[in-house]
Amino acid sequence: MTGCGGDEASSPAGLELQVVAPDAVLRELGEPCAGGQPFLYAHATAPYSVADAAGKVVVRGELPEGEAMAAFNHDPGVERVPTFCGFTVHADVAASGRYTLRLGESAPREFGFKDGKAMVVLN
Amino acid sequence: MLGTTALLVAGCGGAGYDGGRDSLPGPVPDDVTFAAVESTAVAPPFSLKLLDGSSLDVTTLWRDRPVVVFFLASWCSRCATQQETFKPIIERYGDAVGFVGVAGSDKAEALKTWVADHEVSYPVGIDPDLATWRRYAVRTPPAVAVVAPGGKLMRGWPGGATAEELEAALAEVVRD
Repeated sequence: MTGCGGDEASSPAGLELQVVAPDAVLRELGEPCAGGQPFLYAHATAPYSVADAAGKVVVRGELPEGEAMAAFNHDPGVERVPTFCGFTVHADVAASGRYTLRLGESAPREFGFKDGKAMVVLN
Repeated sequence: MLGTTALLVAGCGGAGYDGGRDSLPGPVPDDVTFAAVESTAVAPPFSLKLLDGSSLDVTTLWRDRPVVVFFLASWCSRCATQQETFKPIIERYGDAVGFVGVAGSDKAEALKTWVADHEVSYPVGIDPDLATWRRYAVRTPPAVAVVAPGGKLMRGWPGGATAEELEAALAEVVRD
């Protein structure tokens, strides 16, 4: 993630934003993934931006590889299970602010951080 | 001598990996036969506009040989791994097995670069409205399907196929 407001070398983690494509695709947990239909726009190298409450873009970046995460809190006992595809990015921005994520064909999604983390589920 | 020349031309990249009509397989070798398959599922027929602008009715490919249908995208990192598993299989089976790439949610220029970079030696086109992806129940790339000679759907692998899985499916049908 290429942040506009910080040096990743001095703040390697920053705040953590997880972008989730709720695609319910059968995958092995933890395997690399891109969003399945209708979230094909969510994939590694897809450009995204984060704007602050005033509408100023504070972060621009490209999504990293996604990682398959369990869609349900239930173990069906098979290798391939219903999953969502989650992308984890880091941002050097103020933790207290409200932000808007813009990614592909998804409607802009507002979010805020809590305990240094935030999750945005695409729609 | 002719074989050596053909290999040299095909191995130079560029025009050899353009995903167009020139990458269609030749006639099925005379010494290859195919076993009947038990599947009753009919593979959804489809046509594809290839990367060189020509059109391909894919049913003409599986009329007389099995065909591996690869659902891919240039932005799909796992598709590169899948392509690597194809290469020895393509070399082993030659014109006895057809391959075709069906890209979705992609742009022609990016796909052309991907095809050249990954030495894709078979025809590739874009499924512009994902209609073919839907007919094969493809949600995300990579995905692979094998169609038997005559058009019966043999196997499908959402998430991609291992070399062993693909070899096993082709060994069921190719007699050489």
